[in-house]
Amino acid sequence: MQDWSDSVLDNCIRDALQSAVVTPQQKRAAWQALHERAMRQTALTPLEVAKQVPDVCVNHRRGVSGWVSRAWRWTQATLLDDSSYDRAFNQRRLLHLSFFCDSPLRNMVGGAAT
Amino acid sequence: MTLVDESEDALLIERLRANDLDALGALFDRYYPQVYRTAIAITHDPAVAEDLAQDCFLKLHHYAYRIDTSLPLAPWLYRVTVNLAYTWISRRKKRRVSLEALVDQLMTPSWHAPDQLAEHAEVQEQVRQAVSELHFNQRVVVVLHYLSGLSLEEIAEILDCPVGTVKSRLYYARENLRRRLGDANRINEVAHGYAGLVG
Repeated sequence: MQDWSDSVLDNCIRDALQSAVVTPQQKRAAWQALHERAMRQTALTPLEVAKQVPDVCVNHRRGVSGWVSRAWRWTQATLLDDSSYDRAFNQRRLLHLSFFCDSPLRNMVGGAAT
Repeated sequence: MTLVDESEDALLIERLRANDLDALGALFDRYYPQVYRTAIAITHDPAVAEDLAQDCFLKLHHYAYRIDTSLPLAPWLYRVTVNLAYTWISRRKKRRVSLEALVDQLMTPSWHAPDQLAEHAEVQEQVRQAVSELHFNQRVVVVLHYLSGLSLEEIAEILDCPVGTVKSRLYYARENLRRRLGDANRINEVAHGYAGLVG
């Protein structure tokens, strides 16, 4: 019973949807209207495909410039730049003074002792 | 759709890319009935279906260079038709929700072919009306499956969704149609009327 109903339903749906009639007059009128609109319309141009540039030279240049910049940074850091030494020295002195003069730890220990 | 037809379609699209409108005419001759029937089955409105079918072929002309000629053309046309119909239905819902039922009722008689028997036409109209009341997603699947005869896999490719989703939508659409058309006895009545008319 269920199969019969399913097949009947399928046939009914198929028959109902396929019964829409396209007459030759309708088709001709539709084509004329479409033709006029298509003549006024411009079609899209083909998509441009990006050309693949051989990247051997680019890679070589990048490699050389990277090596030069790394060498320059190493030379500057080890031979020319002493700012890091100064910064470490100053911070060490500040740390020394603050630790022994204004340290909360000192106050805490001192307070506890008294 | 045979391989010969597909290769002919590819040649016609190549000509269309050179702005040969005769090629568009040949493609129009070949596919207009399918596109129109798909559009009218979804929109339930002959005038709108004609507009959508024209828009579909205008897009074919406009996007001729963007169409992959190694693939069959029919699924592309169905996809465009479904998208156009979806856009139209979305706009219509926004504009005139309250008039929708009235307009549908007024447009309904234009579906009838004059030479069809009244009872047969009534059965068909009941089914079409029930299809038109389905949710858009279910309606599209029903139309592509029953009208265009596409497989679930082809529909899934056109709608860009999993096959399981298509299967589920088709199942619920059939259940909804069964419910809308009445209970099992009602369907059998329709079936007997249908069988008698067809037989």
